[in-house]
Amino acid sequence: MDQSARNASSEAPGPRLARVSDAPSSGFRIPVAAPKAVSRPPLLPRFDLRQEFAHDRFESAQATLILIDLPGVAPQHACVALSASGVHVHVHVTASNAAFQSAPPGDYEATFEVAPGVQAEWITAVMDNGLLKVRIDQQRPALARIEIATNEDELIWIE
Amino acid sequence: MSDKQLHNTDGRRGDALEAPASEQVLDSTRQPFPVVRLFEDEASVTVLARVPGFARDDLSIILERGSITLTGRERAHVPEEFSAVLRNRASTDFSCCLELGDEVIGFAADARVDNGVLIVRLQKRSGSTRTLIPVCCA
Repeated sequence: MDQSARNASSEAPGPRLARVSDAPSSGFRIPVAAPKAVSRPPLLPRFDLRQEFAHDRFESAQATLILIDLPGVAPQHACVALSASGVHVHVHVTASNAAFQSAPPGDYEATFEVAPGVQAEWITAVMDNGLLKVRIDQQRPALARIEIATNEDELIWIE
Repeated sequence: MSDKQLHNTDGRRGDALEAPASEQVLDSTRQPFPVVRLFEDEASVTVLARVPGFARDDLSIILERGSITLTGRERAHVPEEFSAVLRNRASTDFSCCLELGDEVIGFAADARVDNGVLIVRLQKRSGSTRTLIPVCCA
């Protein structure tokens, strides 16, 4: 394979994969990074996650929120990816502590439809004590208000 | 886990699947909550309760006269502006009591929450009068 072909294959469009952030329960909006390099094998058809793990779906005018019970699943064994067909949730259940988990060992996956045009940066995923929270904003979230303290203890507000 | 499993409230999630978009409704086919399992070996009894979304501070455990009571208060995970489109999670406030017998020593216990699984390990008294009887194959 020549150099140009290699470059083309490495930049081929595909699911944008991101790790689920392991955040404390108070942290709700953790941005999902979307690195170009996929660090896991490509997503393949696997068991249906929705048959083994209960989930809720909520909607508002600006966002969709999906909650998935993943008791016993470590944060590093869950991935969220965005592709043209929707948001993929991929979970790997290990055999080592299967008694703690609700599903037999294996790989589980589900795809949730999202509005067209959603960007990976608009999705946040948090694993909160075995509960995966995926929030999909329909538009770019507003910038956060950041408080900066100066040497004189004055505050500057940045919108 | 090689321990002997004594009790299991788990059940397979039948057809609690996501409804088609055209008929998405609140789903009422939910499991009991929480799913609890008891395991026993010669020295201890282990209680596992699947409590996804519950942090350590949301849970309490009471040991009293050979029984254990698990109590959980669910935090709000959904902002007010959201409305439910589909619900098949069974998570809710709960209180469940399990009889463990007199062999369990209340003060010799430890508990932890591991990725949404509450694990309580209780020591048994030495010199237990219970005898495990192996079941042989024919």
